[in-house]
Amino acid sequence: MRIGKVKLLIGLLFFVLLARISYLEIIQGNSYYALSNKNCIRVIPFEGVRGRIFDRNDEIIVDNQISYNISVIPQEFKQSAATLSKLGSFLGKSTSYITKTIKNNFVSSFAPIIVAKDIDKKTAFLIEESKLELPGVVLQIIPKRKYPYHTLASHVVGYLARIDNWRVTKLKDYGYKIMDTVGFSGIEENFEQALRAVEGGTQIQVDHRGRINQVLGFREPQGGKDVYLTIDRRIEQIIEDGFSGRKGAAVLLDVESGEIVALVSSPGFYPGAFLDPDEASYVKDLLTSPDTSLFNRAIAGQYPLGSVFKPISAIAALEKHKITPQKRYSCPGKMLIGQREFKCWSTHDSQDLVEAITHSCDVYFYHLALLLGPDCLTEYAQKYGFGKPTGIDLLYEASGHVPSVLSRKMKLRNWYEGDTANFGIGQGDLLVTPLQAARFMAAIANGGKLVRPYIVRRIADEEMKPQDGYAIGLDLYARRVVIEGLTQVVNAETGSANVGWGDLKVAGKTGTAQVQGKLSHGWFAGFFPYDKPKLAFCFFLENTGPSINAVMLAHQVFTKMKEENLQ
Amino acid sequence: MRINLLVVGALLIVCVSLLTLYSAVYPKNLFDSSSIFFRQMIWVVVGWLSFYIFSHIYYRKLLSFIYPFYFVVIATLVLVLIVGGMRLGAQRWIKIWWFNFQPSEFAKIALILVLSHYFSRKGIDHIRLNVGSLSFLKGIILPFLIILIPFGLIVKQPDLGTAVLLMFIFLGMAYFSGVKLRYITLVLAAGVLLSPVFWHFLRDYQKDRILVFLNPNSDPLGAGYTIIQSKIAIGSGRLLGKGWLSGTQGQLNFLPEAHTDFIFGIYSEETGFVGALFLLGLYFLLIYEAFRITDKTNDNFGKLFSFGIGLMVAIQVYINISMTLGISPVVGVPLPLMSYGGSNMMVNFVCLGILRNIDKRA
Repeated sequence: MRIGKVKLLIGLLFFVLLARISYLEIIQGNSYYALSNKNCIRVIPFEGVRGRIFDRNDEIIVDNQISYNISVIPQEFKQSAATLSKLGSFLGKSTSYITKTIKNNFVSSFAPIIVAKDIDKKTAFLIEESKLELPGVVLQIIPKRKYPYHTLASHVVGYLARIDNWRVTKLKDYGYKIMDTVGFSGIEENFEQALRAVEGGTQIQVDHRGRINQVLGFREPQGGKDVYLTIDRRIEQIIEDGFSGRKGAAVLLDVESGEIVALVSSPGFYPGAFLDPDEASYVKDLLTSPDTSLFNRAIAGQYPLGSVFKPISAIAALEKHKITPQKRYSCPGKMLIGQREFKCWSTHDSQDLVEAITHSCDVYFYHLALLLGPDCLTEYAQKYGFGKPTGIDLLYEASGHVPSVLSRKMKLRNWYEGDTANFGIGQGDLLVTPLQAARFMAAIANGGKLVRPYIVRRIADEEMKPQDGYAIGLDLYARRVVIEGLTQVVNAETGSANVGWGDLKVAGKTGTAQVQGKLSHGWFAGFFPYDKPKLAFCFFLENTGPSINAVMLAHQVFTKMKEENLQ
Repeated sequence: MRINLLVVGALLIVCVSLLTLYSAVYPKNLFDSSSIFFRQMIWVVVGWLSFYIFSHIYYRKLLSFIYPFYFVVIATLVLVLIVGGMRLGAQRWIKIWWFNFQPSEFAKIALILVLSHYFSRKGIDHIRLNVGSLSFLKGIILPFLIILIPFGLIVKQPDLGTAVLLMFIFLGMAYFSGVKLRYITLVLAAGVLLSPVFWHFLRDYQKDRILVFLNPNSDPLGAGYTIIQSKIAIGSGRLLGKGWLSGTQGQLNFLPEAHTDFIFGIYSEETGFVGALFLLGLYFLLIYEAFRITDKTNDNFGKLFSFGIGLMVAIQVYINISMTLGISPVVGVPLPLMSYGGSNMMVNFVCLGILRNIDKRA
């Protein structure tokens, strides 16, 4: 009977409907449920306040300031002549400007449109008082980063900018989204999680035209945690003034604990520029300038160390009993090694180890290097922390490079005796960051402990325990001899760093690292006071000629510090 | 009195409809809402009265009124093209006092009546329907000529959904009357082959709807919007639904036409899979009852008429729900007894009344 077939067909059609309904409501149900919420739930964000950054004396270096914006909620705002002219007179803008801004920036009828940015406090309060006459006009209080010392410690602090693609991918799981601001480099990036404020907001239900139907909830924004640094704002300032824009870096750290008292990379930059549309050209210059101002030279710059390396050769020779401190070599200004003539920067008479350090005699250290051999030099360079990051709590630290016969062989090139000689005076392939140089001086000063530098001492109420450094074993006698040499460098009549230090008890070593085709780098690294070492330092000037410039800079800084009674 | 499944099924569907409409317009636009809800209440009462009246009139007495009724319907269909109100790009209504009279709804019942009459008369000499004895001329051409005028007028409105529905009812009834399957296949094949020609006669919005059906995301804010929103509404109901008065898609107006063609969307959002299953069950019951009457009665006219009604309900339910589920193009076919609309409600109740009478007389 034909009706049977019709019944079957209808049954089949009903089955199709049922299958489709099951698919939509049961299999895909949860995702459609989410979509339906997305359809009608909107969040009006309410920003929290990011954590502040303090220096070692609890002085604020990065603050927040309140910025007042005037916004208009289209749904509630009456675009009548009276309200428009009233709002216009408060803001000092024409009514046509306001209507145009509203029209151009309209997103949906519940989303506030900013009509005036960063208005002064007085106007803000005046508008808030006349709230009843201005329906739909809202005062938005927006926290903004403030840098009271402008470019001070910019490389330590880092900056805030709109999140980039790479960071969005990395931080997606932590709730970051496109157009968020996020810390870039320095403390702002490494301690992003602590500093970051938790965004609050009002959750509303809207209809298909985006009109508010009801308020579903409100979440209070949470402020970020304050971060307390070990750096001293005033010393930082003195050093930056000393650089006066020259390229270079300086590090000052506590010889026992490794806490960073000052860390400067010059030239600095203004961290507030990245979120300020008015500073776009400045930011563009920063990003493209050959000075690479954004680059933290103190921890990420890798440079040949020059003669600053000599104390390591001296320690190695003494500890390995290759020489006694009384061993004398005379310096005719040059030395023949293999087929090549190696020069000293000057000529010296016969001198012992302390004198050789004092004068920074290259020939003396060629002799030591040849006595020690390349493997021993490599071992000692690594022992004093070169070739590896120091582990400071800042991102993007470089490791530098320690040459070795093995690594040379792996590049299928030969190691010559001349390379050994060069290694002994810190030339050749050796690359070091200014922070590593300061830390190696600290290790001599504190009797053989390689500290772990750190810059954050406290996050909100939580003290950060400095990680202990580790002992590398420094022979007491060798230490005494080398410190004697370093003291003479600064204080002896013929010392390479004697610029008249008065009663500043500084010990240190100069270094002039040759750079192919450019002016050499100038180094001055050491510690003070030499009888009871407290701070290790490293001053580095990039392509500015001989080390005396770095010595003068150190002198200027320490004198000023003493005048102001710092340390 | 024995419980009549036809009556119970229809009543339950109407109750569900009223509850859903109440929710669809709750709580905003209170004046309008109470008016839509209230109007539907009136139509339910009016419909119920018609059901009562027609279930007490011997249905064979209606035979002499079939052709006069048929011509009145044709006249109103002509009238609607002259004075009808435009809505959503189509001319389907004649406003009489506060009632928007929709002649195409009445065309459905007129067509079923005429075809039942035609096919039953051809088989009058036989005890059962004259299987296989109808030629192509008598089985297809002649009856098609009879319905051609109202069909053409409806296409002209344009009301594609009703036109397609009428076509299927016609073919279904021809098939049931014993017209050879190959004739019917021929008509279907011709329809498919001529579809590129029909395409040119479609209005732009109709072309959009069909294109959008093929790929709803092609125009998510325009023609595809309704399908996407409807799927979201239904899908978000999950197993048990969001609860009565708690749907968001319908209540916040994300779903257009929520009280007419897309009423299944908001119903399903609030009652979930369980609710959808219940409603489909009720429709199945209704169709099952119609076919039971077809089997039960010995009168050819009664057989054909009850079959036609069952078929009409089934096709409407399928076209309407499948379109809300996004598996067929959006065409304006209401969900019987559920969608808001007086003409639809009236016609459905009258059909059920006649069906009830056939049942009693069988």
